[in-house]
Formats: sequence, structure tokens, C-alpha cells
Amino acid sequence: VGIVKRNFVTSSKSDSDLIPMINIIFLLLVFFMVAGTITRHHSLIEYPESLSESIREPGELEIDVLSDGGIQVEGIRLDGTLSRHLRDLELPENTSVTCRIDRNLPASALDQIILALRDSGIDRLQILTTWKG
Amino acid sequence: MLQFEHQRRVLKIPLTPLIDVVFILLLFFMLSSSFLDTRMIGFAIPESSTIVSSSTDENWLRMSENQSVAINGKTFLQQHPAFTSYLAKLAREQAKVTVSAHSSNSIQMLVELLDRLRNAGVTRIDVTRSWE
Repeated sequence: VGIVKRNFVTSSKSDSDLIPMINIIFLLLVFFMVAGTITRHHSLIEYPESLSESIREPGELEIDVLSDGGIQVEGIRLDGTLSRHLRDLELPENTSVTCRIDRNLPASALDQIILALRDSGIDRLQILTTWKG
Repeated sequence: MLQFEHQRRVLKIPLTPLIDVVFILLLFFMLSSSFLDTRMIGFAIPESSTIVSSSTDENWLRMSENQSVAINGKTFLQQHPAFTSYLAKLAREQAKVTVSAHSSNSIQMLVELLDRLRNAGVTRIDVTRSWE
């Protein structure tokens, strides 16, 4: 009886020590759930800064131009050309396209996207930026 | 007495699995959450994405290597009030402006130019491929 009682007391004490930690962890969890936005990780892209107040709306097609010049469509790095990939996707003309492009890249990095979208009949492009203000 | 204590232990919420799950959730949200204030800047892509041969084409705005801009035969410094006034005039006319950056300009410079156009009230903006 003595052994069981001692174990119980120890277990109960350690559990009560855990409660403040659980409280803090729950608070952190709620903070990250409410304040954060779950996005695909883009450590290779430094977004351009803009004064644009247009709130981001997720595009139906997302194209990433990484700082090394590589292109990803929907998170998958392309081996071939973007034009061919978009042709294969057979996108409707009113497809909303969002481009994440590194701000340090030359403007010519946007050329192949503009040309590929034009070839696919898409006439609008949105560039993802961060708020400069 | 022993049985009573045993029953009390069974009724308690097992904290270790709870902490495990909560830690996993916390890690997931910490690693996948982004706190960047993301916005977007949109523009149209003109039907002909090839460079038009002359900078004197109507409302064809070309940004040069040194970030000065040429439009309709006039050259401006971007920060100069005359450029803002000219853009305001184009905005009043609801003119469409086609932008082409020099290939050596950065994407950031292009976005800043688009910001200037939007702030001046120009809403019909096309961006075409860069020029060299």
C-alpha cells in the first residue's frame, strides 16, 4: 500500500507541474493558429515590396520564380519550358495566375512568364508583394 | 483504500499523449505559418508581348537602366513631380499605359514603377517583356 501511495503522490505532483506548461503551449498553439497563415514555404523567394493595398487572393495557378531563376508551378520545379507546361494544363483564358518572384531578379526573369501566359491566352498576372508601409 | 486510489488514477486524463499531440500541432503551425503581410499587384499582359520597335508609341513607358522613364517622347526622373503630373494627366484620360522595364532593372524597380502608376490613378496598366 505504501508503494502505491508514494507512486500516486509523485505522479499527481508531476502532473500538476505540467499544467502551467500545457497552458502556455495551448496559448502558443492558439496564437499560431489564429495569427498565422498557412502557406507553402518559400525561403528561396524574397518578395518585392509594394504600396499596393490589394489584399492577396489565392490564384488558381501559382507560379514561383526562385532566386536561382528556377521556375515552380504549384510547387513543382519544372524541367521543361513553362510554355509547354501551361499548354499541357489546357487552362481556361480567365484563369487567375499569381506569381511569386524574387525581388532581386532582373525584370527579364518575368519575360518567359509573360510570354507563356500570352501563348496560353491568359491576359492577366498578379505579382505577390509584401506591404512596404 | 487501495481500490479507491486505483479508481481515482484511472479517471484522470492522461497528460503525456495530450502533450505529445499538442506539441506536434504546435510544431506544425510554427513551421508552416507565415506572418508576412502579403499583398498583390496586378496588371494585364498585352496581346502582342513583343517589343514595339519605337519608344514613341502611344503611352509606351520604358524604364531605362538608370531608372529614368521615357513615355510619348518625354523623359522623366521617376521621383520628379513632372512625372507624377504627367501620370495624373494620363489617369484623367483613362489612358492605358504599357510598361516595359530594361532587362537589367530588378523586379523591385518594376514593382515600384507600377506603384507610382497606381498611386497616380492609372488603372489600365499592361506589362510587357523587358527590353535591351
